[in-house]
Amino acid sequence: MTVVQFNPLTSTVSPSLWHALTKLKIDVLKLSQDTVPISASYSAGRTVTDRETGTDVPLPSTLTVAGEAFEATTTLPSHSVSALGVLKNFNTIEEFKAADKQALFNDVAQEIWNSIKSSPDPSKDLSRFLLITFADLKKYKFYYWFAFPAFISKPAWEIEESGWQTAEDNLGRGALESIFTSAQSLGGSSTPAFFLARPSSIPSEYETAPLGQYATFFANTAQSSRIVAFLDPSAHPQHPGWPLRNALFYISYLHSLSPHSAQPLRLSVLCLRDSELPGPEKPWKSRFGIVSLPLAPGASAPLEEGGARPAAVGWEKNTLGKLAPRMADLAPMMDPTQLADQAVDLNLKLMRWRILPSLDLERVSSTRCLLLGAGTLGCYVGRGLMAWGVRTITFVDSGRVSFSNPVRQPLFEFEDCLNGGKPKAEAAAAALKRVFPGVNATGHTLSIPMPGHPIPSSPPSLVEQARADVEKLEKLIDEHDVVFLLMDSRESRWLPTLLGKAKGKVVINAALGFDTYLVMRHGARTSEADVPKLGCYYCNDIVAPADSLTDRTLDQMCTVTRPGLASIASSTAVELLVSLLQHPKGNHAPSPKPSQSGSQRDPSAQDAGDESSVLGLVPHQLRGYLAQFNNVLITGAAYERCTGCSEIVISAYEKEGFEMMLKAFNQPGYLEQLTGLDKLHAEGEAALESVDWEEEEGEGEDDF
Amino acid sequence: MYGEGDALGGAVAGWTWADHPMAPGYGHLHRTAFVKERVDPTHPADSDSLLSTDDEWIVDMDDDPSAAPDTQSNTPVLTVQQYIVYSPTFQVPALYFTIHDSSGSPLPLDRLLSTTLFQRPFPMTTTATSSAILLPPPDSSLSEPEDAPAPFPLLSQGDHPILGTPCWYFHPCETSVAVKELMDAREREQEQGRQPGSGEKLEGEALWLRWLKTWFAVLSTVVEMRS
Repeated sequence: MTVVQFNPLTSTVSPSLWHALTKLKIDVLKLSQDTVPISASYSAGRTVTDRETGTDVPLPSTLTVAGEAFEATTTLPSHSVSALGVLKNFNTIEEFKAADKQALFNDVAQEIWNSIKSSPDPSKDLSRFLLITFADLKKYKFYYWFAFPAFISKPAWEIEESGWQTAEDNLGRGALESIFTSAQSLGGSSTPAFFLARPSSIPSEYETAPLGQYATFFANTAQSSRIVAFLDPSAHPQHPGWPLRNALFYISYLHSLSPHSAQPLRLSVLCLRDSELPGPEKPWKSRFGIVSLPLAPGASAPLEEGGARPAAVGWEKNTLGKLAPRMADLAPMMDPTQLADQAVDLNLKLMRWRILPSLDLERVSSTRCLLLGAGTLGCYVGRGLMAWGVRTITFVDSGRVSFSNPVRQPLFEFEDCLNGGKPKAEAAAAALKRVFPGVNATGHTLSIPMPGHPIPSSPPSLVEQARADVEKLEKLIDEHDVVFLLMDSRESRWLPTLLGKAKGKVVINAALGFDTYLVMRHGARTSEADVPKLGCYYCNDIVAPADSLTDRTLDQMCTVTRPGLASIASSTAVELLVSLLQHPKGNHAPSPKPSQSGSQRDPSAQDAGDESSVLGLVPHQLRGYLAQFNNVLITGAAYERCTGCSEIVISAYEKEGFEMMLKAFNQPGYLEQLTGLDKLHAEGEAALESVDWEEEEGEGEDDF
Repeated sequence: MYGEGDALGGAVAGWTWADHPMAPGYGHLHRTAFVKERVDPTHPADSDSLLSTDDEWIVDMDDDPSAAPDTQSNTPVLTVQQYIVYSPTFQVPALYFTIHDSSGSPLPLDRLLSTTLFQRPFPMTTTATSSAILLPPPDSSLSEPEDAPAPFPLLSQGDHPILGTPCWYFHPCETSVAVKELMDAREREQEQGRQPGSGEKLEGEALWLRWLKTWFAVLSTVVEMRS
């Protein structure tokens, strides 16, 4: 004989319970910690066919709790029976942890014990349970712990060595059908949680009765013919479900009160695991066993009428197998920030699933972008990057939002202009966060020093400020993967061009004319053999950037452009970056060769070879002409004497650091000298001088 | 439905009808299914730092010989609530579902895709090879270009049209395109005598029945539809 081992109940909570609890706490309980009645249900144990291995895996025997738990009357799910319980919600995690759990458990056990002692039919109380909770409504996390008290039987119930077998083998299909149909009419429309069966006077037919009628129903039935049946939530072949434990305890209690209490108790148990009559070819799933309570002298003492409540067990273990509370995290479903996050993510994934399976979205979203300039270009680039799922976007700008900005710079509003205007960089970052809280957007107000704008040597604080600004810019560039040059002057782009090239970062440059624009990527510092290096913004210049801003009129200082141009150029810049990121060679991707038919490129032709990424070409430069609604793709080679990106200049920076930069800012002609451009001018001048212009004969006056 | 071959038997078993709370006669089909994750989850929920407790007074169930040993904790089971709802916009049924673990926590997208609910795990990060899920052609011996496989039905998030609760669903426009292709292909095959059946145009209930069975088949290539 072996001890009967019952399969403990585990809880299966539906998210609707947590929604209902939230509502209950906010509307009804508020700060009250009173216990509240709740109901749950369980049904016959199920197995699931593991499609991969082909075996039938028993599902854990569970008690299902859903949103209807707090309603007084509910319709049970089909083929289930209900279990009643109490819930106690605590207002803080400390109270939850410090609660006297033993006392709460004992209260529920007492309810069951009272019902066993005095109720004519304790069936509905045998599966009483306890649920303690703490709801963290700010983080949408619910801490909880279930307990399913079951009295400990001493001595324990035992079963034959042969264990539990199929009901079909022991009772036969005819008998099972008879029991099943008879039980259905007992419970109204479906099987009750517990019932009794005995053979009727008609051969192979059975009669059933509610559990509470044990004494009278079996008065004249031999122990070997008595069947105790219950709806069994367990699907394990050798372990009946937990509800049987209290049912058997109840029966042993009745037995101890009966005149035959000195005799051992032995009965048949039917573990009903069929929700409906199986079809003609299908087997019954129910199990059958003969259990007995061995006689032990003096063991009946705790079961005396009016005796103290017996010991009980039943706290649920968590998924790690420990006796500890569990936690449900409903943030993905309830936290609006997480919902936004998921929706944006899903949207981008649809693009990949539906159209471009080889799109590497993680590469894009993990690219950290530094935007130098939070004006027209900066605002549109910021939004474009966010649409692609980029999560780290940093703005740098030295200005404040002015009244003319909001109409053309979509991250700003009228309110931002008041009281002198908010600092643009920080305001732009805040605006991005309002659009999508999941973005990591920051802003830094910073002036970028420029060549042609000397820094006065006194007061010395000015030089120190410039040094600090440069250091900050260097650090920002180090911390990002891509730098966008989106400023409103030519010379302000010099320093970041130098730094970006020296530090090996991707630099995307966008600049606007009145109705033309330029979008380009600066060439990488190294390249493969035989592949010409690509140039930067200054590679085609033969003069260093100089002061283009002082002594200009207002319309010459602010870039006046056709308003649509900014969004076109900005979007182009963002798409250029993403195409670059999808290319396996990144910024080393070759620039597309000019097509055979001149500037008109067949849009559907996919260039073979390594020019294209999955999104298409990765051009070096794009010049757009809005008047003609035309784009031209250009490739510019790197110039070895470039004042912005040549090795000469970069080495000087790497050797001398800030001192070299100071010379570039303060001394006109320094950069030309450094790169040797001054000699080029001299050679050019000399060549011009040496040309013999042919003079025409005559008075030298024009003829009209 | 059960009669014609049991190939679809598992897919159509276990559904119950739930009437619309306000419009009688309208409603939806509901079924509860259970799936598992292909990769062992790391149980983030139960290792929450707020939950460490050293209570020793609770009777340790390991000392209780009448409690069966716990063999389930390493294979946690996820509950899927499946709904078949009629989409009035597209005038076809759509499959809606929610999936949560036993604590009631809904699964995020990446974990959802790696459960046994989906027929094969497909990688979330791209590799050089295509990871698109394609529908197999109705009969692999067909070579007509119009029977080229239809693409993956769109997975989206939205509110259940009747219950109003948040659900995942397969966008009906995609699935109905795929079903139509399969039905057309079958008709062609019947005309050519490669499949049983007279090839007459089906009408009324028979047509809808065929449509529904094809719809189950379409979804079954992506979602495990057997109960």
